[in-house]
Amino acid sequence: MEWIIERGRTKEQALEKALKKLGARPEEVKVELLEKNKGFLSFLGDRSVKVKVSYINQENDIEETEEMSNELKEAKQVLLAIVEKMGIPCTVDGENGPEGLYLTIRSDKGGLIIGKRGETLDALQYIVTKIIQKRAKRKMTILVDTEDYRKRGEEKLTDLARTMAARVKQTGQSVTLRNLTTRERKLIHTLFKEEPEIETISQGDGITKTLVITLRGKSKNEWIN
Amino acid sequence: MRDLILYIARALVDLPEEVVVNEVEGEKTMVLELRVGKGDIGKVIGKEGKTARAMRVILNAAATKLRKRAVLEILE
Repeated sequence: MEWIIERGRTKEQALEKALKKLGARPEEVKVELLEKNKGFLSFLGDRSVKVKVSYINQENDIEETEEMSNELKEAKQVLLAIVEKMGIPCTVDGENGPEGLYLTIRSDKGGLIIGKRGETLDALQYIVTKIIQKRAKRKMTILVDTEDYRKRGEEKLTDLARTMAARVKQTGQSVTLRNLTTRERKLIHTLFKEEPEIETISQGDGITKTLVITLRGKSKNEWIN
Repeated sequence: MRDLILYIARALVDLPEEVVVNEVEGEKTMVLELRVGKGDIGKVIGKEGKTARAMRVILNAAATKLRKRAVLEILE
């Protein structure tokens, strides 16, 4: 939530200053009186009022949370139904995360749920996302994990990308990584965003998209074609 | 197996009541024929066949548990 603390001679003055800085209208904010300086210095003109002004989105907030938790509930139900129909007894936990909905499957058949290189987990995530997006009529991110597979995968991928980048720096030759998901490519792009020597480029389209790790500023013609 | 595909397909299409799944079970393989209503075939195939592939992957994981191979055929 955005807020600002502002001083003024009077509460009104402080509020006005704060509204200007926030660029908000009076009906959009909540005002809290923090302190009123009425001490002995007041006769010197140091009479100040400190207010905290913050945006109220309460109605929207509540609505959004309700919507989110409904979607979360549905996503949990759908995933649970699918995994159970696969013949795997399980429970599904869910929470709202910064990127979207996070669903975790708990069962004693982790290997089966993950699949070869995570392909079953990816398939489950893909199908649940499709179903919930259709129901909610909007795009959203749903992440499905079990036994911290994704977390471990991210660490491995980070290691791999760093090793490859070191090789690129040493040899000057670009490295191409295939068969990455959108998320995995994004993770690598973010990893090297601030890196002065390394550049990462997504190349190609659809399911054959590849990610190229190359020296920054290396002639673009060298890797196209 | 039939229930699994039926559940997923019904959740993806616009006409869930027109989804039909036939299961033909052999000794080592089972064939599932998925039929959907007019205009819904794209929904179960998806962009570049991604949805169909995801359903096959899920189906195969379930079949592995029964030590079988499963084949999903999509018909209109």
